[in-house]
Amino acid sequence: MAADASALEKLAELYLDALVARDPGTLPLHSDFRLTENGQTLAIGDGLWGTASARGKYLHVVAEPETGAVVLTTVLRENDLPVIAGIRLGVRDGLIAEAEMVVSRSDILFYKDGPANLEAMGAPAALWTQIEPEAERASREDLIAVAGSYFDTLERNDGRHIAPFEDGCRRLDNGVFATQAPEFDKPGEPPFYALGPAGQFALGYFIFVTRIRERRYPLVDVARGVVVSFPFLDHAGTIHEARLTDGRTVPIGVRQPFSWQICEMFKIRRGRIAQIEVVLNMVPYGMGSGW
Amino acid sequence: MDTPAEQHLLTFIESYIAALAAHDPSRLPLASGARYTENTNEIAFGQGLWGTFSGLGDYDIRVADPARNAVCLLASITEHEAPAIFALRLRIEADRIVEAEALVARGRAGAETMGVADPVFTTEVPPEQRTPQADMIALVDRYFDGVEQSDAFDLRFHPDCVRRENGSQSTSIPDRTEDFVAGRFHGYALDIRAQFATRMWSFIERVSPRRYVIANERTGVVVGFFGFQHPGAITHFIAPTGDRVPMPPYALAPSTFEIAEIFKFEAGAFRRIEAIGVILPFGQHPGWPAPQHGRTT
Repeated sequence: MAADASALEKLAELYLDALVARDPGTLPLHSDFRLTENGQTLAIGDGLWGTASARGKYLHVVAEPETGAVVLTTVLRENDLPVIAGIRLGVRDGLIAEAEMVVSRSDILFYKDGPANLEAMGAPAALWTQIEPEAERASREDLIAVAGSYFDTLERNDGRHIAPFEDGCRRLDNGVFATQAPEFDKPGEPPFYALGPAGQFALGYFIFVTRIRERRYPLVDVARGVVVSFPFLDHAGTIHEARLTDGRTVPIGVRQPFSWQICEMFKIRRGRIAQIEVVLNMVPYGMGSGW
Repeated sequence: MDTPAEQHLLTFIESYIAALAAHDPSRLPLASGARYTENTNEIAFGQGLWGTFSGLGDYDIRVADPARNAVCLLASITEHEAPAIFALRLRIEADRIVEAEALVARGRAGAETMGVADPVFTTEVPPEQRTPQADMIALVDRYFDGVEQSDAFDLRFHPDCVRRENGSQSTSIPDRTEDFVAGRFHGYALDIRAQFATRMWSFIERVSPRRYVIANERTGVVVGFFGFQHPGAITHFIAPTGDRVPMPPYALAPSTFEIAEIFKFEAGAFRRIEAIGVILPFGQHPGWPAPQHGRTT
């Protein structure tokens, strides 16, 4: 029996309530239930199930009844410290069979204010829940192809291949807008963070993202034009400068190998990426997802 | 003076470092099917540190165990200009490397405080003060049982015994006050033996798996790779002084620390301990099968 979208969304709420109560006993778990947190298979009760202390306000839920997938991003408190989580549930026969959690406890880079930013936003931008007109909807495969084109753009970014973006597209990384964000640009230098995603990628700066691995697309909401992926961004640490397409050569600070484990949501309209939301968790280079 | 068998094993560290510096694993005498893990993840020889290694720093300990065909390096290194701490384990069969396991502690791990290695780790122990290798391993196992149970049991420590973790001394160090301080309690000021019963290590639920790599009676040294499991659920402890002491921030989220640790013994007592560790997602497997020695779970 397939669950409808509202039933999946209710399961997501139930999961979060049980998580912060540290009481999985109330959850309808499948006999094959499996849990991973940050790539590791854990017993339910371990990891965030043993430390979560409260739910936050921000909640972004997407569901695909056809595959029984529901994915959410949210803010939680863990021993009273804020974390951002991207959580995927796989539902079979009305029961939760899979739980994949990417829990970002990162306060590195400019992500420190991310949880507070999300709490101030309270909810995702309205376009995420807008239903696209039936005549303009793309197929599941075409939506995945657009998301894949984004990863092709980012991997060894050289400015030559640019995924299709709407002009107003912004990307929210761990609660912080990393595009159209002039506050992160250094005074006196040409704008970079102030640009939109297409403008940033056209410069060829992200060449140090050396591989995007395990490109899984476990959820697509065709009606809303939303695609969710859980890949890894590998940084070999071997590329120390970027020759930008505007003629500048800029140093790259990534000197040591690491990977980002991510939960990434794309909103796609009329074949173009309209908005991106990402939960990023720094992990040892080459780590696997457990799925 | 290293024995000839030890010297032969140590040449594999030399050739490994030379190949790393050249970023060229084809220079290694690798057995077919040889595996490489870095921070517990299996990657190809040539990836990870192979692309970033620039050179060794001042800290450098090399130990060999001919009985186990094992050799280890604990070192400070640089990856381009960035400092890091490096632990390497090699297993040799028929003059070929069959296993290479690296831990590389990066970022805020403390590489800049490593200094130089204490010569005591490579100094020969007088024959009458040596401890049989099985006994040394049993003592380290007992030490980790003690960490899990907040009990030093009957373990004996040399009066000068201290432990360093990624370059920072964590015992008998009154100047260190960033954690484990509340009321009359000051954890880091206590000596290594006194710390056990305070419960300050009770956020370490288990030390598992415990993989013993080297036990060298001549130098009284044990080296192993150990998984420290931190569920993150214990936020405070009540110290013997009666004070309610908050756990440090790193103990408040679930994590696994994979730690390479070297123990020096003299006359059956712990003489000095040095640990090099990386922080991993909670529950991460070390990437190698269950150990031959000591506890596995």
